[in-house]
Amino acid sequence: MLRLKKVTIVPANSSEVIVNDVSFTVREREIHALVGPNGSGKSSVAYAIMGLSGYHPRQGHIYFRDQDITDLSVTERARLGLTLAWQEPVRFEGITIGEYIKAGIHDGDGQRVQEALALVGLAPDQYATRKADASLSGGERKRVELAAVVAMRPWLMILDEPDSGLDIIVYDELHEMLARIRRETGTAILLITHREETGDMADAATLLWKGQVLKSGNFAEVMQAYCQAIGRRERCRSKYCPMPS
Amino acid sequence: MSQQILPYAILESARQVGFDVETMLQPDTPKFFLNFNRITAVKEVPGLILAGRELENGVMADVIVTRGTKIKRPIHLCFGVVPEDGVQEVVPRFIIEDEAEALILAHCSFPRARNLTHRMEAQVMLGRDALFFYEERHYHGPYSGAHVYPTFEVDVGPGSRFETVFSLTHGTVGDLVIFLDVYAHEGAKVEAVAKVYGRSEKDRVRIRDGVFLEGRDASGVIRLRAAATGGGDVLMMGITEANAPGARGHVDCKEIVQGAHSTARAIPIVRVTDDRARVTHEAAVGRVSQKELDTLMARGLTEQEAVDMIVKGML
Repeated sequence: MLRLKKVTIVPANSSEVIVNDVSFTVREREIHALVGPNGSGKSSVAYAIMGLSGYHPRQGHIYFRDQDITDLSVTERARLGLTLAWQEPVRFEGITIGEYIKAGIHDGDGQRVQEALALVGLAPDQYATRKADASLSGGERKRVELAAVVAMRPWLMILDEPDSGLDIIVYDELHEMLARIRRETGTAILLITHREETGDMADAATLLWKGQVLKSGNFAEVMQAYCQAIGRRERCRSKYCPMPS
Repeated sequence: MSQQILPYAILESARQVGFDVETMLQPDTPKFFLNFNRITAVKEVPGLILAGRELENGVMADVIVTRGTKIKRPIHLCFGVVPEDGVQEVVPRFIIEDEAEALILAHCSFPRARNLTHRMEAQVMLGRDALFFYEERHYHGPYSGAHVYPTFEVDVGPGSRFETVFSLTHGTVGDLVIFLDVYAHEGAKVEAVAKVYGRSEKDRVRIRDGVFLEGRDASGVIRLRAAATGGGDVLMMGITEANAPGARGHVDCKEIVQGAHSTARAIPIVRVTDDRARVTHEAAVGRVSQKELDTLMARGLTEQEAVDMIVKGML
């Protein structure tokens, strides 16, 4: 489905190599967790996959459904069925949630707006006509972002830390929501997360460490490698931690 | 039937800018329609007087809402010209008498304009404790060939409320110059909003809205929203003067500028001559944020479609 081959990224406003020689694969219908500490290059990889300006790989290639998309625009990638939900979604002045979600539906099926809102636990009759602006809470805006990417019915959605900044009570709902999205849409998900509870949903995982892939495998293996890389011996709360506490 | 009242191109543009054309055309809807210099439909209701006189190039018209009359349904006005060139002059007078209330939805449509001039000199008078909402939506066609010069002089009586919205957000602009002067007396309230989208190098917008708070405790807000893309040129000036005790005013200008050779200028001017009055202002001009563009492009919109959507939201 998605394959990164030896991708190196130097952001446009920097001379520093942020991501170096990164390769990994996301399979069809797979939830693939991309984990790593702050600054390890997770979001840069997401932006490069989506084709955002300033994140074009200096070396390497990105393949999506057997097509080299390295030089395609954001719009072209989206139309191939690839999309991204931002960690901190923007708010749009004067645009309703319904209009925002509908922007990603190109076959004109308005019913999908309602279905997508329902899927992320937002009452369509209340939210479709609300503005996607600063009146929404952070949690509501994240749900709207999820609804917008789900409504596109993409082959692959990149979710950049969908669990960040959420109230702890909302975590369970988020996990249920992601499970429902996977069950009902079959879309593959590249899931960027810091949280073990979220990563537990993943079928596979990749650990980025200082811009490089340190480990790929199942989530437990990757978390064990993560704990070892950190070298933390005390108060490690990971259930996968192989280190003696 | 509807073709006789207004040409299809004008009705279609009305639909495009969001008017309910079926309601406009209903026989019992209060209305005054002008096709170039021909008055094609007039429908009065009790307490509403609509009187017009055709001129060589347009019309003089009186719209009078008599004392105490509260018209619940919107009154539809339409000033349209279908030919590509020519001159249309409209001289309307709106009189909203004491304690009267009315809402006017006006459509100015020049759907094929290539070298067409439309001038309007409007006078608006509100008596005491009256309420008048006037919205004007324009459509100037796809060729940037309209030259549109409306002026409004508005007198808002004590305790009255006047709200006006001007919008030109579909199609091209051409050349647009608007002058609005509103004089607010004791306790009067005014809100003036203008929204314009200039999207080509042939689109030039000049809007000068002035609110003069002359009476005690009068208040006024000017909101100017504009976008200049593709080489468009927009200048919006909002003037508020507070010349009486307790007067309160605010000017808010927000503009988007996008693309080479586009220009957007915002000039809020505030003047206070009474130390018990207060006027504030804010102005912002800038390009669409890259993250907003990226977000919509990641949904499959092209960059131009994304800019359009963001600008229309802002407007």
